[in-house]
Amino acid sequence: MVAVVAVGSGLERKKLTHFITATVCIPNPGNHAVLWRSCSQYKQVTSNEDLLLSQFISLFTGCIYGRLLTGLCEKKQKEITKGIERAQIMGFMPVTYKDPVYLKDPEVRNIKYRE
Amino acid sequence: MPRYELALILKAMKRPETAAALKRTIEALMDRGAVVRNLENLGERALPYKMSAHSQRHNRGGYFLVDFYAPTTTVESMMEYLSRDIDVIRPNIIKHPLTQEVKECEGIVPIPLEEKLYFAKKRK
Repeated sequence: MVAVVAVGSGLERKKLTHFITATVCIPNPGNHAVLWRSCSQYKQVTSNEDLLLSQFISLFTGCIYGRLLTGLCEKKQKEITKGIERAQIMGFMPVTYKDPVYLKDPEVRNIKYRE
Repeated sequence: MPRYELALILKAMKRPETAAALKRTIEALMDRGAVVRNLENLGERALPYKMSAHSQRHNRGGYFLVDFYAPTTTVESMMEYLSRDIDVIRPNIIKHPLTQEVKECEGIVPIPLEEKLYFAKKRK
């Protein structure tokens, strides 16, 4: 006999935990250079986590940021790109824009403006 | 048996119908010799983009995650079955992410650029 029990409140719980991991990785949104060098922060990139993957996407166009902007090492950059593409195909993440729910997240940009 | 994860997006239906659809899929999984380990409900929410499946357009869907152990040969037949089901918008079977090995990442290794300035091999 198959007893099917739909586990409720799954989305809220998942969102909370992922938000916690994201905030732990990004304590000072001001100092990007210090944080993004250590790629070991992102241990495992699953395609379900919108929160982590939406950080590396442009707001209005949905372009994936390259290595110069994110500052990640080769491996992690590739994993994140593959994760983003997978999530977009599987129907977890929008393609042409960034989900407005994740607007408040700190940005992942290495841009240095000339002074 | 390797561990797979089924990311299932079902049509936005009322509770008894969703339960019936889930029961159908899990029974089909078990008929093909899979051992279902866990079923998670990620809630019903708006799809990231409009999807059309079985001559219908969908804006909302219920997200479900099923992780199961299955023999490698039955994955194809499972995908075929799921693509025929009317209530399923988008089925995706992937290898379970927790089974992937997590390698330690050293970060960006600084390369000595002076060595790369001149060609290392001797020209004849």
